Amino acid sequence: MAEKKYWKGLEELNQEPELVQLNQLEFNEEIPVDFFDGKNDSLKSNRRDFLKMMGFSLTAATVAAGCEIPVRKVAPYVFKPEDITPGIATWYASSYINGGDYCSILVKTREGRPIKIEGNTDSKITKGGTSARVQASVLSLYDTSRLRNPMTKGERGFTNASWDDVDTAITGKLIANPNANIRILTSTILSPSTKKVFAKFTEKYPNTKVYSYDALSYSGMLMANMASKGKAEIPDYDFAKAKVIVSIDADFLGTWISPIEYTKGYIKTRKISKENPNMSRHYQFESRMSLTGSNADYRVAVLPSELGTVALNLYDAITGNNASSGLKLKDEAKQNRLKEAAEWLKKHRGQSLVVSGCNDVNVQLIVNAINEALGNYGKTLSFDNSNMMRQGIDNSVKDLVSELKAGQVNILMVHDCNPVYDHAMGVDLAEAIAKAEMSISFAGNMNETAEKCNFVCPDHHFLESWNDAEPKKGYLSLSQPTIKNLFETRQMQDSLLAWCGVMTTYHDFMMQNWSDSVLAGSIDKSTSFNKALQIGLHQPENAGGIALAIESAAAILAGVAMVNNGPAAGTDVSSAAANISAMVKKSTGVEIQFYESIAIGDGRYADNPWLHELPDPVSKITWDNYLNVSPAWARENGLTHGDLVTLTVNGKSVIVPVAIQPGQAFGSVSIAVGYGRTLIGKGGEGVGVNVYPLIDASGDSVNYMASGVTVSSTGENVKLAQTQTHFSLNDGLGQRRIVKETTLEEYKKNPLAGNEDRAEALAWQEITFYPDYFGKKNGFNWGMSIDLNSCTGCGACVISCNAENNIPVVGKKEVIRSHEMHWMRIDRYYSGDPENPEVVYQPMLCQHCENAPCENVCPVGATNHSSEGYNQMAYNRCIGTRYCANNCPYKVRRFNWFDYGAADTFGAMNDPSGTEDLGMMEDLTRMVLNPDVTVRSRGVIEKCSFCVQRIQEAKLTAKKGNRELVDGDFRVACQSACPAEAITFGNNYDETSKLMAEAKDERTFGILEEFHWMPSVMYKTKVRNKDKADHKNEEALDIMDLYNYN
Amino acid sequence: MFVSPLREPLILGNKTYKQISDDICAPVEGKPTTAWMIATTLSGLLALTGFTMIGLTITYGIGMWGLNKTVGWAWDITNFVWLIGIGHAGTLISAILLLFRQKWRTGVNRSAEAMTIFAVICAGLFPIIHMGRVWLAFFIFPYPNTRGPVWANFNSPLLWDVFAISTYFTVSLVFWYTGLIPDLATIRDRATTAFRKKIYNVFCFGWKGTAKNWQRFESISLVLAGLSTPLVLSVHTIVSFDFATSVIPGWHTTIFPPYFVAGAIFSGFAMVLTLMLVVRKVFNLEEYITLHHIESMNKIIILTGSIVGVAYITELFTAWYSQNQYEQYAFLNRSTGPYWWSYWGMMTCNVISPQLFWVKKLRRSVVFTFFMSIFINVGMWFERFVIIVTSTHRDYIPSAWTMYYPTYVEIFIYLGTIGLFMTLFLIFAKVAPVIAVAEVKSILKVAGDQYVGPNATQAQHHHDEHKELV
Repeated sequence: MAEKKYWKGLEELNQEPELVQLNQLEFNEEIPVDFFDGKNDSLKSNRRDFLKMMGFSLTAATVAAGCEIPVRKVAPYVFKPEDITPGIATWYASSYINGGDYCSILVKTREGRPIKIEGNTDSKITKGGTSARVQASVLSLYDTSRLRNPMTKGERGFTNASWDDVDTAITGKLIANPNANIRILTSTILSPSTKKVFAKFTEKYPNTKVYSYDALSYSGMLMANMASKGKAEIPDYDFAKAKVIVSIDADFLGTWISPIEYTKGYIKTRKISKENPNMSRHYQFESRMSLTGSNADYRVAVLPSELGTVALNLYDAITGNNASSGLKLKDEAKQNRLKEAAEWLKKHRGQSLVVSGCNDVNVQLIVNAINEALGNYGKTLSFDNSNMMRQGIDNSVKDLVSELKAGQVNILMVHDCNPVYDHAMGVDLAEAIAKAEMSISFAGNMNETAEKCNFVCPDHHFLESWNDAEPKKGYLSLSQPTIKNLFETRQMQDSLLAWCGVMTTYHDFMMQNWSDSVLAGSIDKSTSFNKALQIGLHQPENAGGIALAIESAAAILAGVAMVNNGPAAGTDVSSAAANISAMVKKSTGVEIQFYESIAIGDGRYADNPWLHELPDPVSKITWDNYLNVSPAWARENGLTHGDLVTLTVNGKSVIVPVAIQPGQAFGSVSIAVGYGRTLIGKGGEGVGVNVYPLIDASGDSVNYMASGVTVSSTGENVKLAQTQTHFSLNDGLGQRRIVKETTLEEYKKNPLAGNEDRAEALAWQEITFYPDYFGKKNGFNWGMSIDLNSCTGCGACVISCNAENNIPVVGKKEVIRSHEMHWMRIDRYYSGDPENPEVVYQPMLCQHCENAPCENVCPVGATNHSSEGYNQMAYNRCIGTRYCANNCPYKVRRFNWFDYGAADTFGAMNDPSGTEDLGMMEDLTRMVLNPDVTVRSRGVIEKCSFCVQRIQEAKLTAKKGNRELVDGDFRVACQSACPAEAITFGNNYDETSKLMAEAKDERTFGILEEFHWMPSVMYKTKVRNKDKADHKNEEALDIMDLYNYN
Repeated sequence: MFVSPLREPLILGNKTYKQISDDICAPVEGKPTTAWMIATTLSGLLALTGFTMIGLTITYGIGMWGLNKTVGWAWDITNFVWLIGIGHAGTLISAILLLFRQKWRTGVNRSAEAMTIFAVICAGLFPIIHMGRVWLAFFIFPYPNTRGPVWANFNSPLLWDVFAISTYFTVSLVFWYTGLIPDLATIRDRATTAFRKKIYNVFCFGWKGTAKNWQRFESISLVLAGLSTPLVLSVHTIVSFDFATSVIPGWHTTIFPPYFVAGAIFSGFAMVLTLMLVVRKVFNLEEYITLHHIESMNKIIILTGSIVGVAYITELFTAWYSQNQYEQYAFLNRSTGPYWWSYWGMMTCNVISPQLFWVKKLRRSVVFTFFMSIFINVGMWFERFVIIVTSTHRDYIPSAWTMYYPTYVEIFIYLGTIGLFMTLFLIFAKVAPVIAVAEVKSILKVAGDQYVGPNATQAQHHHDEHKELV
């Protein structure tokens, strides 16, 4: 049978040729051949189309690219002002005067506005040091809540007025009754010329009295000195001469009278070297953990009521008397320490110093007696050049309030103080002010007291003012304006002169006063004055050998009734002792101490966000005040960190958060005043709680301590904005060698004490694949050295860095989230006994590692190493992956989590951080920005740059001067602010530099050097003048369970 | 007499080629089921929420997240590594199992590779959105410029990541897509509407199914498999370098490359199982993804899980042996510190649970495997969390120690990527066959199949075979 044939169609059956051919092909359709083989007719039109498309898109791109970014014009000077070269800073010497706070300063101005404050090294008092408050004060010039013109109070509150209106009204009132009772309430006045203005005013209006008080009063000390020495003055303390210091609750490194001056003196006895291994011995008896107490060699925590006991026992031990009549410290160990302190004092008669911060006349009297017995007067303390920084007497406000209540005051003027807020009789005063016929406030910002007055005649900011000051008798200091007054304000002195019909300005008045008194013996007064103005100072043994008569403010005072109440001279030790015993017997229950914080003081700095964001040196808490309690006491009372409690003192209550504070004496609590301000403006509104009303001012002097306090938990807990939440270097596995410490006796035996492991760490650095990689730099190899023995932890460097480098403020909410932006921080570690720990401070900043872990890992190369040995950060290149921050072992890098710097990447943003509400991004506030430093945008990492802008500026200055840059030509911001001279910055290639001298010291070490990151910042070991047996730096505190943040 | 054990059949039910096509293409060809609609809508909404959160982050800043000065990476990079790790299973199945001639891979490779693509897409979001200045992300690329020229930093592991992940994505995409082409052609040929035919024709590039096509297909599969195989090892090695090359205790360790790669495969297979166990049930594909497939994957899970477990123990040993206080503390903190619960969760889920698969009954249990796969993925997420957060939050300097807590923005971005992943996968399951039709067909016939005689298993289908060759 033939094979069956299958076919699909007739074509197949007939084997048509097309089909045959088709079958040989794999594909039925024509396969599209190469596009460009030229056969395709549509090719021509495709090329044309292609070119059309290209042309169109090119045009479109050009048009789009041609869209202009809006042009912002910069107007150059047509006639260049003599002093101002845009881009070059002009410096003015001036004085920082705020109440009794004083510092001699140099003000850096750029394009006519002050942006930075540095210390004036010519000053014999502050010697170039500054404090956190001084550094932050430049910001308050640009406070958006400053009053911009005088105001008068009408029916509906304050209305703006002109100076003419105000002057007419006030002068009219004054002239109508020239014998009216006029009272001027002020804080301490340091200025002799201002006192002369008061005198002048009193000439015309004879019933004028000037009351001065200090919110944080030293009137107890003033009265005691009046009794002991016949002078209601604070003596001049010279800590540099003291080999033994016993402080009974005097925070002389932090807030007591003149901390910058005392720090300068103190550190002279704390810096040690192989050649001079001598240190002072510092004992501190206090109830709260103060900055000074944390730096002491031996600290004893006692109750506030026991401070008098301490003084009495010291007196007895030194003089052999029995003034204490058996009154002793309850704890035997503490009593023994007290005896030891007395022994040391006795061994160093005339070379020791006993100081007290108690505002109790009796305690101060005993302290005076101790110093007398030790022969310290004339050596370590003297009245030759008394300290004038606190002159307020407590009874003034009491007297004023009673006068006001009795309707005896016709006109009240309030200058540079805020009694309605910061005095215990504030409420009474607020009511009583209404009884005066006319009340005038000179406040520069609206405050609680100004609000009660009829007129507010705002004073200039100190940076806009002419003024002089006599911080110590015989030492004069000048203030000059560094900017024309921003607003329609007028200096208080000018207002008074205008109201008493004197036609000169205060500037001329002051010049005349100097001409008459200070420069009386000078031949060319104008030149002398200008010389003084140029350095901002007029000090003994200066002015080129011309003998100048110096009249102290006391003489100028003659004629001005400054009310001064106090016990008559002759009050003696035994009555003081009796008073103290009586007070001790009365004290029961929990005791409290009110203190001023380093940042906020008596509350006058509460409008300054830089100061609010400065972590308190001891507690590291920001944007709040809090009740310090000891760990054991907290345990006993079931309290944890952040618990809200009702605090009742003297019958009045407030609700405050609790902070666990190692070192707070068991059975006592403490809280800072100065918070809870209202009417303060964006920067400080609603921060903290006002505890001034709890203070008892009924006695002769304000009593900053109380007993019978109750603390009861409300059941709620709040988060405290604390920047450092872990404080032990011992992690359970051993002591991390991040801070190295030793004792003086060990150091004397072996200068390498505490630092023995450095050799091994350096040896690890020899093991490298790249021995020549970290080669020679271009002539400079910048480095830094920080002496842990000098650093007191005050925080001036932190604020100085913030001011210099435009570091944004983030606010409380963000600090709680650990988003604070400080480039320089001061780490504080506790060790030993939680009830009285050892404390060490370690400033931490970018270590500018030669072999930086951060530099390798940035994907875009935004951070790299300069040829001069420091780590650079190119903000513009950073895309914000944060790998560098993760890889930094020192954790010094900071990321801009939100638009903190108001760079406004996408226009105005109301992000959830709440930072914008602080008012730091207003145009006015941004005038404080340093034009030499970029303001970083959101999403960018930043960190310490070794003040590269200052390095560059110094190099350029040297280049223009055709000379080499030498050591000391410039200082970086943190270094220049430090009152303790703890920071040395310099060139590692300069053999003559101070830095090289430090580097050779046996005490020098780098943190975590064994990891071969090669930090450029070195530290010097902390040496404590205590017995080895008492040195507890390796014992961790077991109190983390009291904190709620793990 | 020794009788060799018979291999389990990889396709159950005596399927014909036509049946294979019908079974697998059925979900693609039918109307979307209600279940699918609901699932896609929900996951779509979740994805949308995630994108809104991303929008918030880019508008306001990384401050919307819970990161801080000490912990610079947390959920963002944990999610990134977790998702990339998941993707590795797909590549291993497609590439390495192809080279090892493991026929059972054909049941799962399509979905697994799809899972890889989608995981890499989701993962790739994180390195981009975690940047502080996303709009300048192009700085990463070494493009010619007039500023220096400014160049990317090739020392940085993040830059290696850029190239590794983009290579990985590209190669995986190409591999997956080329494998998909014959299957898309199948759907095209079975299409009933002209529209469907046209669309699928475009997507399969007009695949003809000629011998030449197939020959090229086979060679490119081998080439791509060859390319992908080193990627399985290298990509996650590069990702591990993000940590291994740093100095932070807990990150700085040479064990990370094998540890991460093993972990990646471990979690990837777990995710494949999670997906496949659901897919096979919903699409009635139990005969193609059999217990043998599941058991094989579980065996890989034991292997890689054990490697991971050994790696954990090795880390602990290294910490002790090193006598380096910082390293020791890192592990003390992990196991007893504030994040101890994540560490022990990780240990339980990753070390203990896979060991249960030694029991054959458990290996072959669908329900047990499903729950175990979820645990493993949770455990692997915790592993990355533990590595990243517990190491950074307490490193060298105690003053900088903080805690980290995620914000709702971070949590919803993470859930959003899961939503995105699910949405993409659901769409994939609707438009393309979840099993590689062509490859399954290629393993249908097994040597030893009997068509005639007393043991004939295929006999009844003898005539049917001629009818449908496609």
